[in-house]
Amino acid sequence: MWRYILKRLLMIIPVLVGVTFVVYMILSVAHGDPVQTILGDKATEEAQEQLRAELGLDRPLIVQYGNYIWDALHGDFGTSYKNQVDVMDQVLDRFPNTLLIAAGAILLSLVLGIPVGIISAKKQYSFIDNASMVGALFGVSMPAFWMGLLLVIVFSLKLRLLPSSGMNSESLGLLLKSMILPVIALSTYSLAMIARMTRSSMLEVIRQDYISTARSKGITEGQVTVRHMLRNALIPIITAVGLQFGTLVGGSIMTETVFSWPGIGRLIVESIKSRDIPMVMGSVIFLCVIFSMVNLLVDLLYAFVDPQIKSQYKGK
Amino acid sequence: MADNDNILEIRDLKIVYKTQEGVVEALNGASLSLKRGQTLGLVGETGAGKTTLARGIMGLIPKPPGQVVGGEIFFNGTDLLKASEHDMRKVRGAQISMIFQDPMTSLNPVMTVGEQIEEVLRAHGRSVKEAVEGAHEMLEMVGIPKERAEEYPHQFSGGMKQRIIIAIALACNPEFLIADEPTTALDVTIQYQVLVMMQKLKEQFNTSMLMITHDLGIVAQNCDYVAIMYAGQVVEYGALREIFKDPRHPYTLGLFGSIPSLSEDTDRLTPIEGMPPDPTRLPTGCPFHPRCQYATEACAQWKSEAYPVGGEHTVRCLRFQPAEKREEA
Amino acid sequence: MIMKKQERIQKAREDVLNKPYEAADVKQRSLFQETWMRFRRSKTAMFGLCFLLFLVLVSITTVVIDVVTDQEIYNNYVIEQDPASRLQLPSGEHLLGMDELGRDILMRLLWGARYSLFMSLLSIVVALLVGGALGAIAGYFGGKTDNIIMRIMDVLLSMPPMLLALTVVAALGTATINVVVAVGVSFVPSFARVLRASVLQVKEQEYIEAAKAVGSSHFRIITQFVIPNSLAPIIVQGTLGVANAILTIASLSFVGLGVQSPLPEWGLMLSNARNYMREAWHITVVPGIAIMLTILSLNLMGDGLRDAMDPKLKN
Repeated sequence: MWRYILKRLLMIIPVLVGVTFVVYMILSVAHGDPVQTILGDKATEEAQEQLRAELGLDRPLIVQYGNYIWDALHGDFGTSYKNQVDVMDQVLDRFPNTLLIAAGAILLSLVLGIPVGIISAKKQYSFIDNASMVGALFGVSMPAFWMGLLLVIVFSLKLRLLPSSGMNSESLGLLLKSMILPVIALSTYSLAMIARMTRSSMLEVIRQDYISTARSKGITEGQVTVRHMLRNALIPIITAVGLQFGTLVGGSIMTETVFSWPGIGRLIVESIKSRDIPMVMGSVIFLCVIFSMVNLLVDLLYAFVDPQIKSQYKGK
Repeated sequence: MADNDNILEIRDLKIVYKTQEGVVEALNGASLSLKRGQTLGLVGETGAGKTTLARGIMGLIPKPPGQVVGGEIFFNGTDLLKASEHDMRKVRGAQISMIFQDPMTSLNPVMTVGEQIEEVLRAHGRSVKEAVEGAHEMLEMVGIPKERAEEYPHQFSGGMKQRIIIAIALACNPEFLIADEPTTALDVTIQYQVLVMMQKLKEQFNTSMLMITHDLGIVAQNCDYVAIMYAGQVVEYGALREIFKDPRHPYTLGLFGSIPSLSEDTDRLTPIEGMPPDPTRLPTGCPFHPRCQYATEACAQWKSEAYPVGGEHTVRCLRFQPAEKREEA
Repeated sequence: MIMKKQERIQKAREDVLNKPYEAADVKQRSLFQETWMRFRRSKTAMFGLCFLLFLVLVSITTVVIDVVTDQEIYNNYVIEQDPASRLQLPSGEHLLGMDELGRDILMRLLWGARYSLFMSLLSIVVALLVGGALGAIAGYFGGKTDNIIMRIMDVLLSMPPMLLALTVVAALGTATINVVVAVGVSFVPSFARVLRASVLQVKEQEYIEAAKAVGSSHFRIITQFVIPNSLAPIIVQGTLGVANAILTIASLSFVGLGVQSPLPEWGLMLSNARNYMREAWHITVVPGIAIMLTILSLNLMGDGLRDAMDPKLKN
């Protein structure tokens, strides 16, 4: 088992190097000369040269990339062009807010999506099944930002139950209250997708011969469902959940925009608009690294549910 | 009430599956009985209702689409069809066990084989420790070292998987075992090993057994009684010798005519003409009459029933209707 | 009346009698016809197809109108603002009401259909060509080529698509064509994976061996055998890809990094409507329904296609 984990850990390193390299290259090549952006058109030739040397821009791109990563590893993502704040500080400041709604959304999707999928599969073609699958179909077709706007119209503007925007961290209660709508909006797609995947992989398992074997042992239907059906359906479900994290990153950018949530997604959008490349680069690279780590965690989860992996790496 | 010698007695069992294409009459008044400690071979073509019968006894007809619409299943004198789901759970695995057709797919791939044997022991009141010990014991009994209890099904061969399934089925020492084509999916040499082992364990535990197969050779070697099924009915029933020496039903005659014999010299095998009937549209009267060479017009009107023909031998065929009954009609 | 009824019965009887011949014909139908037969049976998939055809029709018609009238209608009804009737609720005159600048929402929706449709189609075609070619090459040649290509794809896959699209937009700017490129790039790896998988599957078949034995070129084998056999998963993936692309394009426009004002792009309409939610709900609801119906139709069609092309996958 440890060997599998170690193998996965080593495999992620080239991916991380690749991702950071791609982001760095796209942003620095296409961006052109940052010196003019910073100093404006009227700066003298000398001043420009001096800044260029200061920023290390006179060296080859690959060296610049190396330096950037070296600094990043030491907690330095450079300084924002726009307001001279430290990029790393800003990113670390915003990231927990994103994590808050993202974790809330994935939790909600799992807690609701998996049971709905199980019930639908067990009662295939029943009213509950049909209703939840129609709902799920709309769920996967609904853009997160539109869902967010609808929620605001209904729950903030009409019913006046929940705040329409912003993050209120004065107290835990208020924080939770301001989280509800963003979390629901963000989870819609993942919830629907996980429910659909759970249902289809449960349906595949339900007809297997080993379910008959399990039933013939005289165990309860609940035990058959959890121990035999769900445990076998879990591998495709985990894959589906893993795929949701990518969607979740995209969704959180939209959700944060709708709800003026001070997360890292909105930071990226604002920075792109103000052409603040160091900020964009820092945030994007940071998110990519986090995303890779989450994927790694999902991969490691397989080691606990997939007997092929379990037996292959057993005791070595 | 049921005969006390009989561990199992099925009377007029009717089970249907409601599908989009129509109502499939899987069991159409099947009756049979089995004495304590004996083995009954249940023979018939694919689709004759053998597996449905087995699942019916276990109370494992998938509903929907399946539904038991009539009949009785007496097990040790009590009607299983009247038992609650809760009571049936106590019967399954403890008093009646079932071995399924395909060992490759009948074990849960994500549980160790040890856990799967322990599960049935735990379900019937054993403590964790007893269950683990019991599982090891059962593995050894079917010839698998107990150290392998920690392994997963994909690490075993087909024959070994079937042994594990047998270990699960016999773990709680059931009185009655249903084996649904236990060796069809295995190589011939492995088939033999598994059958010998089953026979040995059956004698050791004094288990009664219902052996479903379409292989008359296996029946001849392992069974005390034989029931021949056709289109959801038991068309002929009797002791092994009665059926093999003196088959009466035209379908049984057809079955024996279509297998090669070592002792007799035949140039050609004689197949049964025609195809098994569409289970959503069974013929009226005797379901076999459209394929039967002895069929008369009366066969299409005949109300299917079994007639004794000496000993324990019964046949469901109009040709064996006793004379007094014929006069009544 | 009575005659008619008898005729009808007679016709029904003939239909029944003719059925065996129809059944015999099934075998001679091409794979395409077979698939279409199965696809047609799903009402939901047909709904999706019809709605999408309607959108294509609308898009083409509006483009033609623009060309013919030299954008007169476009300028007068889609772009021209009318402060007097801003935020008007739906009425007989303006079926879906007026937006925050007094423009007819129905007209804007009709003229905006092309953005969602053509931009997403274009980006998926780009992704399909690039990703498909890379995947086919990787799968067909295997070894080092495969390794290099797929590692690059792994890198792209480990970036969330929306983030990749944002990065490209950040680098290239928000011109419409850049949005297409950005979305296209983010879908390259998924197509590469699908094509590679089916190529690997097809490669093992004996008829490929036979083709090699008679000296067919690599290009010929790929185009003649490999690609036709990979078509089913690609069409399904493509349909779902278009749905995702529409969502991504609408999302980019919504945050202000996609199509720019005053173009009637649906995501952008939603973005502009945000500030007027309090006064008028309809300008938020209507464009959203348009986006959702489009994505829903694509999802329905994708599900239907998957079931029709590979009945085994249907549960």
